[in-house]
Amino acid sequence: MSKYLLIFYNSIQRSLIYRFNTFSLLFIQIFVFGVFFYLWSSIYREGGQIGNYSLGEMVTYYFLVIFLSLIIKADVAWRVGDEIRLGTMTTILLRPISYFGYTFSRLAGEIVFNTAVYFSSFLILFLFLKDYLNISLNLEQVSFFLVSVILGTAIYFLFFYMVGLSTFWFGFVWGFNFTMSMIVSFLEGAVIPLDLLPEFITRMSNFLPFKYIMFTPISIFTKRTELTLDLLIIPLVWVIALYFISLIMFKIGVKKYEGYGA
Amino acid sequence: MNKIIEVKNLTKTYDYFKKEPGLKNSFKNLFKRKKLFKKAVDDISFDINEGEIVGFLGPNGAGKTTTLKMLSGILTPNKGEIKVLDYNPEKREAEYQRQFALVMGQKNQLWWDLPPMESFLLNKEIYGVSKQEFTENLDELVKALKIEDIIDKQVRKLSLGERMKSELVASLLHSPKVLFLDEPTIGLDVIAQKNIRDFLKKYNQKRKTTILLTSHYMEDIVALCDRLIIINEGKIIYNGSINDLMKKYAPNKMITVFFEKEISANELKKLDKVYKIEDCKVLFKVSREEVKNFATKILSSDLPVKDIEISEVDVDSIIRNVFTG
Repeated sequence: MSKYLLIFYNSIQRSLIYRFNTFSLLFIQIFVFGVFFYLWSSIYREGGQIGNYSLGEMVTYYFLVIFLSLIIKADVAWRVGDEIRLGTMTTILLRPISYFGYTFSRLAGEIVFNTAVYFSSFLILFLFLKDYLNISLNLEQVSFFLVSVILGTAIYFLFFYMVGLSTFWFGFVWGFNFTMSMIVSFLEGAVIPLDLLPEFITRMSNFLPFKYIMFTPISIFTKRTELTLDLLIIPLVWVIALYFISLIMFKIGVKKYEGYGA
Repeated sequence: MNKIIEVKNLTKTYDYFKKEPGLKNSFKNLFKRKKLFKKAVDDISFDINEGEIVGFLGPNGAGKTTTLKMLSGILTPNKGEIKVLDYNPEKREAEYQRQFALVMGQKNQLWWDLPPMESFLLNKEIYGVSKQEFTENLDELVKALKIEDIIDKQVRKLSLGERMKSELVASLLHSPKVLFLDEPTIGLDVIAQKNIRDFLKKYNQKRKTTILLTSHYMEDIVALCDRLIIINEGKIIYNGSINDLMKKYAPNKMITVFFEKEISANELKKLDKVYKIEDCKVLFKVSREEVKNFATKILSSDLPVKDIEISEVDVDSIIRNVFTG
């Protein structure tokens, strides 16, 4: 096991070297948050309520969307795709280590690093926005939220891991990855809260894994849902299912691998 | 002798698309593509014994790297059988992976943003090398390749030669029984090339590691290999020792004689075997068996000989002969 732990540490080390990258990401996301903030503030100036969201609730929603996006949305598909397309996967396939484990540990390192950096910066941001945000917490809710975020992250990782693996068949998936990112952003509720969308989309999202990435953890955090166990069990089943599908996909796809470039 | 690698009727076919140049044809290609096939490796068979160093030689695209990739389990063959240390590489069993290494001159297994030492430590864990073995091997390798100063420097800041040496260290930490080297000296300067060659030679003598290497540099092959496999367009066209290759494709040696003064053509005619006359310098092409007698004959004749030189036809030109038929 400790080989994966070491990859995890190395990945954190690597992130520490590229501090600039981390801070530029933080900057752009806070900028995006600012845009949403002013957009919704002016929309609310006309009326007091949209759906069942007040201005404070809406701002809180986006505050959490941005925070979660920063920590969980590492670009797995792009990385896996490049390793297949450029042939760098070769050096991992050679060694007694699982490719999934390798990719996962690297990513986990980045996520933990990102969480540390962004949590502290969002804490500061939170102090500035305190009056706008509706946050009141209790222990049960926080534990539900944490488990829910971990499951959501796993779903996001597994799904985009598979998008990356599709490079085995398609050769280059930048466009596909971009399209999927857009669709997933929408279906997870990162663009507009899912309960404000037409009913058929809300209903459809119940049969897909994506709402557990953003919408569910945020609903737990903002007390917009009862804390029932199925909020955690359904995404857990999704994680297990996606994991096995990705294993099979890798097993079939790797036979097509050609290790280009040397 | 113990057969370490056995390859039987191995074939690998790649598919690809053909695209005529130009944007118009790119659009055409978007809707209609004709799948074409190329046999990269075409029904080859060979064996390699324990402790042997075998050189894999051939022009670009001959199928050398493809074969190495199949031997290390990265590529799945279309047909044929491979057995390395009694494993089928295609299955990528951890047991097998712990016993071989593939070093590629054009691929990087070290973490680009971290010093090589971090990658060494990671390989220690990946291959499950004990602490003692790791320390001993690392010490030995780092000293032999003289890279004490660079193992704590970020990989991206290393020169190509330094990186290649670090790659070698990383690949040998788990004491592999079989070592595949894909152009280990590509792009290196003459001194670095020689360092790596000398190192590999010594390493093989000491550890009895079986080595299969590909290279474009004839010197690599001559300096290192007991045996040579020449491959062209996916087929093996020669498999044997370098000496036998020379005998077969270069049955003659060249004797160059420098005379005090120009010798008339008539007198030279008596000597036979004249290849070329350049003023006072005359070249004779003589078969290997006759070299000694012929040299004695010239020296003991009453011709004014100043100097005499016997030389081997160089291997490069022999290989060229092999490829061009």
